[in-house]
Amino acid sequence: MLTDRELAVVAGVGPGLGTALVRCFAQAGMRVACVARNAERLAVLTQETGAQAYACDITDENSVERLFARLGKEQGAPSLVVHNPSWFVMKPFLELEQADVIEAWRIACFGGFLVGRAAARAMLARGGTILFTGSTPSIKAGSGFAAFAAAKFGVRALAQSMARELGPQGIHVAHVVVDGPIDGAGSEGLKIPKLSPHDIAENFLALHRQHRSAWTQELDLRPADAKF
Amino acid sequence: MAKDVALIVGVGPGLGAALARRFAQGGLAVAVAARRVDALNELAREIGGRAYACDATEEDSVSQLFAAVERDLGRPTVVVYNAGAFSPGSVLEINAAEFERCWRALCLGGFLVGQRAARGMVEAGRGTILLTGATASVRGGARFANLAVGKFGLRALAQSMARELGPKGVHVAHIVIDGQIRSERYAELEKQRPADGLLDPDAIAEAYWHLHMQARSAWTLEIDLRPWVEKF
Repeated sequence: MLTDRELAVVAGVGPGLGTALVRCFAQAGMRVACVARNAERLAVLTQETGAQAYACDITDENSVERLFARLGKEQGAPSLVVHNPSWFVMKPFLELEQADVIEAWRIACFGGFLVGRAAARAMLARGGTILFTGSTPSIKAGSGFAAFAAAKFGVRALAQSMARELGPQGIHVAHVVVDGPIDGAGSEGLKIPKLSPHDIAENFLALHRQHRSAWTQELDLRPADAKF
Repeated sequence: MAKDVALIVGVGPGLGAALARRFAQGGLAVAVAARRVDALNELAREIGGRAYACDATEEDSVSQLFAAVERDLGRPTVVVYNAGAFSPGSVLEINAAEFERCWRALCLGGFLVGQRAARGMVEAGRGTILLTGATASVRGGARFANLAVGKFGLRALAQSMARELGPKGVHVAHIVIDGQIRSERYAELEKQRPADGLLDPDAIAEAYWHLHMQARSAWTLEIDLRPWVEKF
């Protein structure tokens, strides 16, 4: 089914930001493909938004290649791809295990590389936007955040390098630093100001819509009353 | 209901004019200010706004500007500081008077305008203050001391203001314009680049507008803007 409507791909669709991104892009008139390890979990969201669910292990090269091949065949080239997944680890440094460090890095950073590379290849002909979700530990490695921050710093580095190389080829790569807890995504116990996933998603859409004479590489977002 | 008011300080034919048009298009009453008002009258007429003369480096002049805008249009909800001054030169050659003049236009003016704007906005519990930065806000290039010193200072001001005023409902953001804006001055450079190779004032203005429209659960402190082909 090839149409004039833009195709957005959201990798990493959990109940928080991923879901808000799918809703936001669908409301903006785009076709949306949502990608998760377990696609059945997305049935309610796809029914609500008309989005299509795709199963993919974004840390597996073959799985990502198959996903983009299938997307290309069924939906055409995406004009927007968001890499949103992360694996949260917060532990005292002395208690960190190898698996914590590797898993955090594989999902946020290595997965970002695989999805970003596949997205860029698919976009070379007509251009597009690739957005990475960052967070406070993308720029500040707090106590207990060694594994998570190392992974998120890596995503930020990836996004910077991709932007410098791919911008002149018509592909807009940007990194969004979500500098605070997202409302609803397991943040109920935190007593600090939270970002609404809907409000964050509006900013992803605005980045995608930027004119190429004035592209942003990094955008920070936080609540008005946040301490930072 | 009375329209919200935008005040743009430092309006030339390029970005300042584009900002004035964008905020007018967004339904705001727009006040434009520059040291010489005669160049602004036509723009003010075009957008149905008002033009004011102001030397942003003089506290009295800034006070008079705000008083006049409040009287004519109402208290500003959006204030943009877009003024500046710059003359490039070797650090061995630039003189103290010029060094100070640039700093006053780039940084002190941002403080005077920002402070006066913030007082009204804190009282109202809402408002947006947008400060125009440049590559030199984050990089002190060779021969750019006169610009970078003032622009670094303006960026520091933006960060400090944002942290203090955000919880009071005032959104302060700093825009890093990382490249040349399309203009007569860069016509030759523009010809050497592919289409959209220099920053389009209207595209920049769109980013300012977006910052103003951001919901308060997700405010941006700093946004960078550059053309797709820019080396950075």
